[in-house]
Amino acid sequence: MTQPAAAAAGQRKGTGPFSFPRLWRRLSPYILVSPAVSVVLLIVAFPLLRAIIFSLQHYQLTDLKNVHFIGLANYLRAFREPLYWSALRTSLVWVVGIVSFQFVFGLLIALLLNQTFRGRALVRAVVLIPWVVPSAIVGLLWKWIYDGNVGVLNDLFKRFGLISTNVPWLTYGETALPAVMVAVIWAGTPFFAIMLLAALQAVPGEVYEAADVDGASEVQQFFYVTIPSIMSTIRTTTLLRIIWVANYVDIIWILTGGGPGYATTTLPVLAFVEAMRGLDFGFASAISITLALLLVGVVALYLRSIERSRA
Amino acid sequence: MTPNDAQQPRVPGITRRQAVTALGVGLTGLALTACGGGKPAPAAGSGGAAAPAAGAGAAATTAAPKAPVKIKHWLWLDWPDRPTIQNLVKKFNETHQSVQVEIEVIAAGSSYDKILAAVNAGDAPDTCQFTPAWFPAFDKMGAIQYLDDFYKNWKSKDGVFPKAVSAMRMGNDKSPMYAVPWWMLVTYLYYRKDWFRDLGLKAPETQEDFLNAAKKITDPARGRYGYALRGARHGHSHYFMLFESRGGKLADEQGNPLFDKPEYEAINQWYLDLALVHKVVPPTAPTDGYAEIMNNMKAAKAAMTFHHVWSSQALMESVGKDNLGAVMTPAGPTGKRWTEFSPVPMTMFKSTRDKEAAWTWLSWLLEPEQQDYWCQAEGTLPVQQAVAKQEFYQTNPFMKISLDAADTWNIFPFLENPKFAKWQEQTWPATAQQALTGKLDVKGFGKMLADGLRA
Repeated sequence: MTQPAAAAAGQRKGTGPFSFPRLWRRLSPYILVSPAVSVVLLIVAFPLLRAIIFSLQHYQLTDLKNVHFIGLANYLRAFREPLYWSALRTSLVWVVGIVSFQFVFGLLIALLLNQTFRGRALVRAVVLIPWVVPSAIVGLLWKWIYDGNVGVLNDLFKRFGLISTNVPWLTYGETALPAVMVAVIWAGTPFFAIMLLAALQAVPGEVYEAADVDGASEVQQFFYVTIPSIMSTIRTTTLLRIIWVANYVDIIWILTGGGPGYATTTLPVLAFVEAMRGLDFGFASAISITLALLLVGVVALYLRSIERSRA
Repeated sequence: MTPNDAQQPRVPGITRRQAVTALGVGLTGLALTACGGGKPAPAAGSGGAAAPAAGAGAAATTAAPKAPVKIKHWLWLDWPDRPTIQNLVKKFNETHQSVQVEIEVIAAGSSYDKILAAVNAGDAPDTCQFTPAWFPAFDKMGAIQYLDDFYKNWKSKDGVFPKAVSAMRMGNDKSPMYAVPWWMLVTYLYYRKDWFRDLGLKAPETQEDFLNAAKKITDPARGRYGYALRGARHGHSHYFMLFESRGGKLADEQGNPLFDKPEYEAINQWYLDLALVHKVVPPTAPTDGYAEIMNNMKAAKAAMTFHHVWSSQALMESVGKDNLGAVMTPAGPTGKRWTEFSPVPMTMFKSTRDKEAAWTWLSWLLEPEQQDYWCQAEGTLPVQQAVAKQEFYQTNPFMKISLDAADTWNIFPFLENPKFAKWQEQTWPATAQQALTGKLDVKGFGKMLADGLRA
């Protein structure tokens, strides 16, 4: 048999280099992952790429005829602005403060809900309420609570004799940031509680029995059994919360609009204001990209510390 | 190599990495193409000349009956449940066979973003409710159709308040006419008649009366304050009226801000002292916006505030019809009054295909009959002087005060400044909040406000 004739025979049998089975074997993994890859490219990679391009351009929505490449000018402008550094500091306080308190309160609630008591199912459902309330409603709710003239918080404090005249919680920088943080801590704590509760329920009872037999006190059991057993959930949940809390805009915007002055202006709020009020998408994108890079750095450090602790 | 790898024949020619890279590049290219490469399409007709109607040529060759021109009109409504505009559109469409109007009600809070996005996407409406502060931005984009040629030939133009027309040129008679005034609002001072009566105070006609009354009424123990100051967004309206009436000048002839002139420091201090020294404003005033100042009036927490006729109904319902009074902006030491005057424009976009048809719709709305119908139903002030003289407007005390103040009407002097839109949303609240809480001194207050408007 000549060579071409052999190849033709091979193709007929499905063994040639371009036969369907061979092609399918070669391409099917890519075809099967392509829907997922397309979605990721369209909803993650493309917007990210656009944001990076915007950040390197003079891109103002009111001046679209004059869009042009300006290199790192938007970044340099951000780094020269005192407001950028003030927003960065506020973001740091914001993230550390909120995530820490949410973790502590979430853990306490999870430990409580892990006990057996009457009405536990109801309490577990009720605890979730702040988490399921839309953030716009959370903002409006707390705006009324904090209202300096007719708010319920002032009324309660006056009834308990804690204050004699109303406190304008959202009007002064000293109280505005903590007040907004309290609202977000309230709304986000159930997430920690539910995640940690699920982890606690997965800890086998035998481990505690063994610890009991070894004479470990309850406090020792908590620190040497409970915490290590739920550590992976703590890490994952904390990481998620750091990212989410760092990106918060809505509740801050509803409660204070970033004020008074710039007291509650975090980096995402600053980017939002520059984009939606100043319509300067180039500058706003530069601020957003710096925030994204900071978060990537934090996440990388966090993951590295996890790897180290595992090793 | 895994066991599975060992069993499968090695396929030469393409590596997994190459395939993923190719797929990624291909899909990114597809996404970029689908999104137009991110380059916005220019607004149709933005070059100036009107594009012919798409169907016009076809209609001419087939001699079929000419289809009516459709005009797309956008507006926002403070009371969307009222059918006023729908009734007007119905009447217009019934009486104009060749032009048919379709309206779209857009959300007031996002109207600027939506219109801007539509213009950038080449999908702007034909006509649209507008705000004078937006003129510079949209004009810079080449989106606004100047209306001078239409307006000068319009039969009812002489009846319109000249100040309302001037506002459509941003107060500069050399500027083109960016829009036509549809209706208007005038700011004045609301005050609690009953509280003034109880304390033997006269209506606050001057700034001296205003401050004296505010001091006497203020009683923090009862949660009662003299003046509901607006420190949040758009609070500059109060500040501008008090500043100019007290003898200040907001801008020079070229529109440059003068807030930081040394001779105006005393005026700025007088304004800040309302909160810092006299404490006649609620403690929340630096961050109070429209909702808060209205709540303070309704909840009997404040005796006076500035606003326009649209809040009169709600305030009367809360405090009682006989307890609510209104006076013009209190006069300053020299007797000067400066009143904020806000005509609401309707503009036409350059992308409008049939500008004559669009003008037919806009000018019809401005005719006295339609003006009267709209203003009575919506409780606003007409721009047609003859309509404003009618009994309905002259017997309503809040409308009458607004109209009686005509000599003191002023528009904001920074409308031509492209930074003003951002200034009023961002610079004003951030600056005022810091100054009214004592975080920024009077010099810093004037400087920050002025710098925010300088090039």
